[in-house]
Amino acid sequence: MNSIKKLTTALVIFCCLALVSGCAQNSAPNITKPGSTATDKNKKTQKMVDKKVVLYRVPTDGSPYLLAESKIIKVTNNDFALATVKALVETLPADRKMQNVFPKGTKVLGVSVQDGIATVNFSKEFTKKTEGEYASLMMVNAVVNTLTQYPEIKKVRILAAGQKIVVLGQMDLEEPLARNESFIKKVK
Amino acid sequence: MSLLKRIMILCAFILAIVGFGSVSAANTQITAFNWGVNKENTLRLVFDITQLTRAKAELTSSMLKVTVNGKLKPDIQRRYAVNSSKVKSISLLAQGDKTVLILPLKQTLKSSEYKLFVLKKNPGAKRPDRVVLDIFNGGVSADTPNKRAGTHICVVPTYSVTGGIKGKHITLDPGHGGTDPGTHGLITGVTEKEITLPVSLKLRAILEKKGAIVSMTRTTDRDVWGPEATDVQELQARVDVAEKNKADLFISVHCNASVNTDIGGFSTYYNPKTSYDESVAENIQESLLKTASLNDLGVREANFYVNKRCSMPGALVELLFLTNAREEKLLRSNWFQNKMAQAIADGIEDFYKKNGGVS
Ligand SMILES: [Zn+2]
Repeated sequence: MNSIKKLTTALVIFCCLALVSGCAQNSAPNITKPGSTATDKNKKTQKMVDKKVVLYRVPTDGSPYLLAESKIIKVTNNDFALATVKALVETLPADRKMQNVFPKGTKVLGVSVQDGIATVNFSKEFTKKTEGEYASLMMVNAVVNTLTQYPEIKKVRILAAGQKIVVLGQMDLEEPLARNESFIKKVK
Repeated sequence: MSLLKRIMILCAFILAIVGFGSVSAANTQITAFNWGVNKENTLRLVFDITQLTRAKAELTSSMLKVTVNGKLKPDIQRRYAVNSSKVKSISLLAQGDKTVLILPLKQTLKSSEYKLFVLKKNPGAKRPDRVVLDIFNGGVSADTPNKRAGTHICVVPTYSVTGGIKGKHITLDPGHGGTDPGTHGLITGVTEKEITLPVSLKLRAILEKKGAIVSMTRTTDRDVWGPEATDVQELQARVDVAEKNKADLFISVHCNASVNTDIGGFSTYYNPKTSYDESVAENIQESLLKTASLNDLGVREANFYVNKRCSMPGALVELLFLTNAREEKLLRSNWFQNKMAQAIADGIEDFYKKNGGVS
């Protein structure tokens, strides 16, 4: 036990010294910096490629399972997450069995990905009140399930006009949300 | 260069290891987890362990993570709200034979501001072996120490799932109310709040007959926090009722709605913040489906505020669709309201029966 204590003390002292010397600030070179936020501006400087993505759409028949739409969208290396959410929110599905239930006027202001968490910033229209729990529940799960198709995205945080949303309908959006397969229609 | 890099990665976190290395993790169990603030304003978190084991703490700028080599007993609560100047919340994760304690930090913590250590068992005081994490000045603030606690730990009251329904504290939450009508029926215009309240009142009577002690977030047509409440205040007020009553179970009652008037059926939602929520939802849903030939829309995970923020297990029941003509009629009828209330109560009783053997 004594030797473990000594070792622990030595380790702590070593680390404290290391901290004082300032190396902690540079110690994680692999972490994406917040500057990776994709916006429309830096699109032009990147090469556009076609990417096949899945958009989880709300069914027209009002049933409580999301339907998967396959779509080819134009993306750059930097903005695949932004382009995907924009396609989900700002376009209509091709199939009549699917609909777009995002409140009228909802825009995607930005999407950033850091440490496995995608932060989606919607315009303020996103928080418009809807009747019943159905629409908001489906809408949020559509965003989360669509973005978590990418292995680099594990959870999704949703903001409106840059502000944290604590409650939407009956839902708690304060913490980032994980994929919810129970909302996806299983194709047999 | 590579050596420098390695050192740099090493010092990204501060590591402290305590304990006894000779004991294998596989045999160690964590039988209880308690925390509290003592009069020195130290936030103390304690794992009761079946035998001495190893633990390590890793400190980064945003998080303090403690890994204890011991298996977490499944009925230990996993998430706690904490009023601390240093720590945002307390979460436990079971990772096989190890248990990880995660403390997201409000501010950078110095390595001198916490201490991880092992306490050997004290048979005289009936204390088992323990792994202890102290966070100094981790209480609310330096001048408001928690007076209830002496130098010992104040045990956070937790829910019980064993011993049957008798004596269980159950909080019922009739959805919406007051200024918030919820959704509405398309034929009669009946509102969701006009259905959820009578069903919940009937449910209370049946649960009380089964021996439960029932509290309600509301017993009349009113807002729980108040008419001017924000959405957060209103929902938190419902959670507060359950916490104040030290509820063992929290059930929120709602009715569904859809743009498609053909859609109908029962669904029961849960948030898996304890290991019991899913089972509560499953038992209620199964029982509801016996009431009549109605659609099964499933037991589903959702992040509903009331379920997520309550510390005890629970579910949110979506009773049929007010937008479906047949179901609107059923929802309005007294006999079917009784039937649904009976079904929810039976489902709750089933849940407790199934958990009867586990202590
Ligand atoms: Zn409702």
